[in-house]
Amino acid sequence: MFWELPYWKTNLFRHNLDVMHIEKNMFENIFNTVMDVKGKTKDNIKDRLDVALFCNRKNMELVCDESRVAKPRASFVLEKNAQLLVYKWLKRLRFPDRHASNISRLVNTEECRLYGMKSHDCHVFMQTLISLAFHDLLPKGIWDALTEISHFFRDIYSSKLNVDHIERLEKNIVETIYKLEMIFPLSFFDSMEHLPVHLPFEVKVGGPVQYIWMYPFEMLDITVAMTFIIKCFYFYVNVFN
Amino acid sequence: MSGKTNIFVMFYRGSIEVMDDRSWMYRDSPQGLRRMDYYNGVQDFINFATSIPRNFTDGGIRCPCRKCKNLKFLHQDVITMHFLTKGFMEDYLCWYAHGELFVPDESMEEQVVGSTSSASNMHEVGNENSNPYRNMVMDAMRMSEGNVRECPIVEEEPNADATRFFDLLRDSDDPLWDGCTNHSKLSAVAQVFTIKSNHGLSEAGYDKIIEWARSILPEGNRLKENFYAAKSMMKPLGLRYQKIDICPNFCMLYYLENTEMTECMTCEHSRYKPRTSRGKTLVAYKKLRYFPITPRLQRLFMSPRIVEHMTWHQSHHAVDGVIVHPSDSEAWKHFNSMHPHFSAESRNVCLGLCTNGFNPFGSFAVPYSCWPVILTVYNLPPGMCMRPEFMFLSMVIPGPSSPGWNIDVCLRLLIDELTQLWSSGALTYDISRKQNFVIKAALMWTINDFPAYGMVSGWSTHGKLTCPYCIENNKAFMLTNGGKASFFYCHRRFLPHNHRYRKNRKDFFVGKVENDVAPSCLSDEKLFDVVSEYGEIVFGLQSGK
Repeated sequence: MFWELPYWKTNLFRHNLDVMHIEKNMFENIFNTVMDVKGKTKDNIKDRLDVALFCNRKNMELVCDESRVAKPRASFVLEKNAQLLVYKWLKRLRFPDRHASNISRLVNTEECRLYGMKSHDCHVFMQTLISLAFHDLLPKGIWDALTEISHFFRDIYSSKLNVDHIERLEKNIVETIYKLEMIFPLSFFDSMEHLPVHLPFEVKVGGPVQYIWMYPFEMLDITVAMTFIIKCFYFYVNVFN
Repeated sequence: MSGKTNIFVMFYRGSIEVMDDRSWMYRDSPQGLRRMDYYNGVQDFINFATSIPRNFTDGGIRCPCRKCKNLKFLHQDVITMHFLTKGFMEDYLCWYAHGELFVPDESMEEQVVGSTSSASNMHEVGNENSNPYRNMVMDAMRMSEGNVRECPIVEEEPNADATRFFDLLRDSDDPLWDGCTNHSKLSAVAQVFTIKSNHGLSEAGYDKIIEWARSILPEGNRLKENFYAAKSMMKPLGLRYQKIDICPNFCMLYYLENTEMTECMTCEHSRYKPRTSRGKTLVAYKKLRYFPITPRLQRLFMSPRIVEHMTWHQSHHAVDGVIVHPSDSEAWKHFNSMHPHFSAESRNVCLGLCTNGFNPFGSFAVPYSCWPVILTVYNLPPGMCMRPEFMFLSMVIPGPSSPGWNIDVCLRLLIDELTQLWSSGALTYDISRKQNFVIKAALMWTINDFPAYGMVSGWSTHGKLTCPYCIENNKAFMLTNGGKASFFYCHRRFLPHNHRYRKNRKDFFVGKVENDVAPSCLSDEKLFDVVSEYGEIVFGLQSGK
């Protein structure tokens, strides 16, 4: 449809990938897999079968006895008591006002789950907490990769960008994802893990992510829900006030 | 257009004459058929009429054919057909309803200019201590005066508009009660409206509160007694929206040439609900609310506080290699270099479009997906750019289901308006420079989450072909047991050619070394060719993927 606009075909790029959703989905994938959240983790039986089929990772293949099948714990999954440690740490965590929602309220230590994480909470967790939370709990190589991806998002979110810095990011993110590929199972890599490869390009061409992401629009939706009929008056009052 | 030319060629019998006067309008060939110069003249007329943005109302211009007599607003193609079949209305040698002047008088024009600027100077002085609500009406007033100066008009509507604005101005000046200093009639209503909209107050609640407020205020106060009265008072401020019926299956809009239809062309679903025994009006199944963007953009230039920021994207000091705003970015610079006539005027507006489905009744209530389409203005500095005040709701696509791929049907309205804003622009009054100019607007890009990305761009975003950058060159594959697409092993080719990671045989598919290079994006022309190959697309229920 937009191709009918006379200038549309000369645009360098036309549709933005939404950084906010990519970051959120990626965070959920990482967190659920590392914390082994039931039903959400990507490290499940089917995936182990796929790993046996496609990769050469002996320590991740299912072990079959006569009577039962055992799933050996993968190196990137935390042990039960380590998980508890993380949840307890989250429970005690305090943030400055308005930095994020009160994450300690979202933790359910009995079920070992986080409930009601908003996109912005995922953003804060991804950028600052992920490397702290898993420090010393995960093996060094895995923790390094996770920290790198956290730094990548922190860099790409900056409101002032240097072009050469973005080009460096563009190279680094490929290596980071390569490292993740070495660690995580196949089904972990859905499209959301692939898209960060293209993010630096998008930022380089389109400008800082603050202008091409969806946070403000999602906030606006709430307002729209209440006011869309008398939007015109609302606009008037706001703009000229 | 070629079809019409053919029709014409059938009619053509006479010789081609170059005519300076307008006798062609009422002169047919001896056989009663249209001449070639008539056709050319009609084209000239259409070009002239469409070149003046003020002529457009609801996307159409006045049709001066023998039957419509300047009373109907129609699309230019329809008007051309009317001319060919019906001819011009009588005595329309001067195209006064399409922006032509009876007698252009230079001296008179100058005089009006002078008076306008002096009025605005007075206004500037008054600005310091008067209230913002008064200013907004003054701004709007000036807009109407500005228009009058450009084209001393002819018809009644602008005058009626002007009168309404005058009424509003008087309203704004009237204190809420005699002796009240800080509230005027208009400011009071505007503030209560804000409270109503911000807190979702019902109409009955509004009326009750006003009733109570009126009992507190002194005798003889001028607070409007209920919501209806207040709304009628606010109406002349403009910025209205249109309600356009839409097929419940998103096949078509009942718009322009389809306005009169009562049944969908594609799925034959009725447009209106069955009439109840008591109801007199026809009620459509689904209505699209469309908020035209042009008046909202024009309004930005009417506020002295905003207009100075509207050129920020060109005036700010940019450092090489540092990006702080989309205007420093490669895409923006490329756009400017491709369209120098657009970038020459720094007041031209660059827009971004965002759509996102959400449930207005909260996520746990009945499933309902309503799709607002929001435009944002990128001209503004970073501090203002993405503020809710400068995001314009352009359209609300009703639910209960998401329009999916058929969102294009609804976007037709917006695209039409954007195309017009790009080609002919809209006459706008700039309050800081105190002059009229033609504003143009361009859509830079869209912002969507991933499912909506698929809807808006038309790219699938599912399965193996998820990535819109790699398109079909990616190496994703379906997992045998997981049943989903995996992007495992897709990233090593983005590494430099001699990178040591490429040679890792151990951890990936057994023994494989990556030798491929990163996929390149399709060039603009190629992509355009691919898109245009699809040809006509049928929307609605019967459309496949």
